[in-house]
Formats: sequence, C-alpha cells, structure tokens
Amino acid sequence: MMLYFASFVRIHKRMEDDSSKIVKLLKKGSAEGFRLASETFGPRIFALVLEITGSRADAEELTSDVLMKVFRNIHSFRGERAPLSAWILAIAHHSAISAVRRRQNRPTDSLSDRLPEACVDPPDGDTDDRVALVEEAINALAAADRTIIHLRYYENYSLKEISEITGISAAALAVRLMRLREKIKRYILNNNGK
Amino acid sequence: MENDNLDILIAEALRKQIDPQLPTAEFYGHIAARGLRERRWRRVRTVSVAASVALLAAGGASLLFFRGTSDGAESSADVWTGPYVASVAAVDDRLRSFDEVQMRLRDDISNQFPYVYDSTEK
Repeated sequence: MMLYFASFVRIHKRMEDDSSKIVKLLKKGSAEGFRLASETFGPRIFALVLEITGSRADAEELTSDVLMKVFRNIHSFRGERAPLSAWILAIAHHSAISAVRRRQNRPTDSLSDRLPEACVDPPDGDTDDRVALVEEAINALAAADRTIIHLRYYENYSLKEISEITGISAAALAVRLMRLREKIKRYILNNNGK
Repeated sequence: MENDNLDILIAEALRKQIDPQLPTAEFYGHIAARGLRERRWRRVRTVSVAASVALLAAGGASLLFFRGTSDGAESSADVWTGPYVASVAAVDDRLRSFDEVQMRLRDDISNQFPYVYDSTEK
C-alpha cells in the first residue's frame, strides 16, 4: 500500500510538470493539447464529480462539460493563484455541486451499489472489512464533506490546495478534516471494526 | 486505531470505490475531439437576412443564426464559418441566453453531423 502512495506522488508531480506544456498547446488550439488535457485531467475530474454526485452517468456528462469549459476558458487561466489542476478541479467541484443541488436528492445508495458485480471484491480479512466500513462511512457524509475527503486522500492535496478549489479557508479545513476523520473512526469502532 | 492506519484505510476505500469505474481512454478521446471541433467555429459578422443567405450560398458561411423580432419576423443573422455546413438554425434573440443557445447549437451540430456535413473533408 505504501508503494501505491509513493507512485501516486510521483505521478502527481509529473502531471503538474506537464501543465504548462498543456496550457501552451491548448491556447494554440493544438489537437495534442486537447488530447493531453483530456487524458491527464479527465480521470481526475471524473473521480471528483463521481464522489460528489454518486452517479456514473452524471459523472461522465459532467466530465465532458467540465473539459469543454476548460477548453473554452483556457485563455483566462493565468496560473498566478493556483496550478492548472486546482483551477480545473475547482470548475469540476462547482459544476458537480450545482448538479447535485439541481437534482436536489442526494443518492441514497453508495458508489459500491452501482458497481458492476465483478468490480466489487468480497472482503477477505480484517483490512478488507475495515476498508468496506470506511467506504460506508464516506458514503454517509454530505457531498461537501466527501469532496474534502476526496481531495485530501484521493488527490493527496495539501490544505492550501483544497482551499483554492473549495474556497474554504485552510484553517477551517483543518478543523473540518479532523472532525471528519473522527466521524469515520467512530463509525468503524461502532461497527466492530478494530 | 492509529491515525496513519486510518489515513491509509480512507485512501484505499476511495481508490477501491472509484478506480474500477474510471472510463476508458476512448471516452476522453471523444471529449478531446469535441473540443477540437468546437475550436474550428469562427464568427464572421451579423448581417441582414438576405446577405446571410447569399453568403451561405456563395460558400462564405457554414451556419446562420437568425435573430427574431417581436412580430415573429427575422431581422438579421449571425454568420459563422466552421467545420460543417449545417442546416440554417433559427434562434430568437429575445431569449436572454442567446449566446449560450448559439454555442449549444454549434456543439449539437458538430456532434450530430460530424462527417456528413463536414465541408472541409475531401
């Protein structure tokens, strides 16, 4: 699992390095720019909006919409306040939150409920049991809280970067994250997790 | 439970939920192609209805958006060139989201008629 984290951080760093190249290509209207931007940021947009909406179909539609917004507005990106990835994920965050508000009924089933059966690994030990409990705990959180958890633990973003995306101050985020972690921990302990 | 353990469990739970659902590269390829197509639309100018139709006939336009008036007649047209010669679209500019409607129509045309009406393909 630690190896997974190390490789994630390396990939994350490389993506940031590629950002200035992608911005230049997109501003020139190059086909390579559209391809690189879609392949680099598409999965990250999809992951975030899936976390917020809980619906794969909505996530696909939103990913497409967000990337089109990025293509249309790339000339307004200056990179002074936030890196490209944070700028893009901020657009994704706002789009997904708006979509959830429009829909007005938060999904009651978890992401796992929508997974094809073959994708769901049955728990085969203590760790898997606890991972399953954490999944349940995360799914029970409000969309705004799931966003914070996602950006911190899936994207591995710092509080400052999460603040740039969500508009919540880093200090407030630190407190909120601590409470969310406590909430998840309590859920595991209350459900016989170790 | 150790805090580090909880962090690892949360990251693992997210990865397990999300990663199997990530779309294939083909999905992102379609979006890139859509972005590229949209970039090829260029607004020429707004002209009279007669002039816009003449431009379309002469090959100087790909798409016309007619601006409606309150009595239902068309007063002028926005002329666009782009990757596809499309059917003439009529849009009522009394709509507050006139520009947004035009953008969506161009997008729809690009997506629905990507090959049949592509005037640039030989």
